Amino acid sequence: MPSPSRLALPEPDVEYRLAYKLLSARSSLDREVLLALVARPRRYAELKPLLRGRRDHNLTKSLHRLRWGGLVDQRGDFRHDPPVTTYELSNLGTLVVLRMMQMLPAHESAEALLRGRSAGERASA
Amino acid sequence: MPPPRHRPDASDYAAVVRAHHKDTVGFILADSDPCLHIQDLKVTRIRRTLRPIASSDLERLRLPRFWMLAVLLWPGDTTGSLASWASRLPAGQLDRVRFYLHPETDARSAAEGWARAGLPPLRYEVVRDFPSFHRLFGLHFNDRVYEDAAGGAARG
Repeated sequence: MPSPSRLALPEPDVEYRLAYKLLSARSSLDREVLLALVARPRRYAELKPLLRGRRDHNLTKSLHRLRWGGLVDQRGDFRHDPPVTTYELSNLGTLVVLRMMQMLPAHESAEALLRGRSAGERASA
Repeated sequence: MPPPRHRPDASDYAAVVRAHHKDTVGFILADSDPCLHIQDLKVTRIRRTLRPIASSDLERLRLPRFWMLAVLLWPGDTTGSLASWASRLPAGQLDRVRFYLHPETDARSAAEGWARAGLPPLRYEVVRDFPSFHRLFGLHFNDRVYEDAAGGAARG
């Protein structure tokens, strides 16, 4: 079992691993949220259009996953009732977006290749 | 003359954090009993440069060049004396303060002192127990180390 101090340090290429995981995920919401935060911090309501008909619960869970992974930070302005919460990219989150953008062309090429292969297999079956 | 220090590529997150994690001092502020327990566990289990403090220590706290302050807020805790201390910090340093709230903490009343001092919205997370604090504080501390070492290279 690794020691606790090891647990708290990032593993090598953590940003590559997380970028790959996000690109491979079936749901695109987490990566869409990250991309929406590139330009500036955003409130929950500003992120809701990403849901495109899905329930609010999905966005809440997505933001929780991204915060729990250290990719997104949240700020609360408790002078308002209800408090205003904004979300922003962490440094790690910013690097993950960068790696995701680097991987995207290869990811799309691989998807096109696999789709072409499947279509070919279906046609010859 | 000391040998030149290895400077990892600023875009390599893990290498930067691993090379510099001892440069940043983490202060963990807790005032109430359950918080103090978490604070003690954290300092004992994680061999980083961490120091437990209480609100009463703030006025005589000597800050190093690179630091982060984790504030544990359990039900009944307030931010008045912290806000008084933080309002004297240069504006750019306020992001070094992060709050960790118990789910049963009344965030509005706990943050009242902070808000009343005119300080910006606070960076916060809700933590139920030691494992959740351990995870989130570790991630946030790493990000602070990276920011200090790479000068925000990730954000351009």
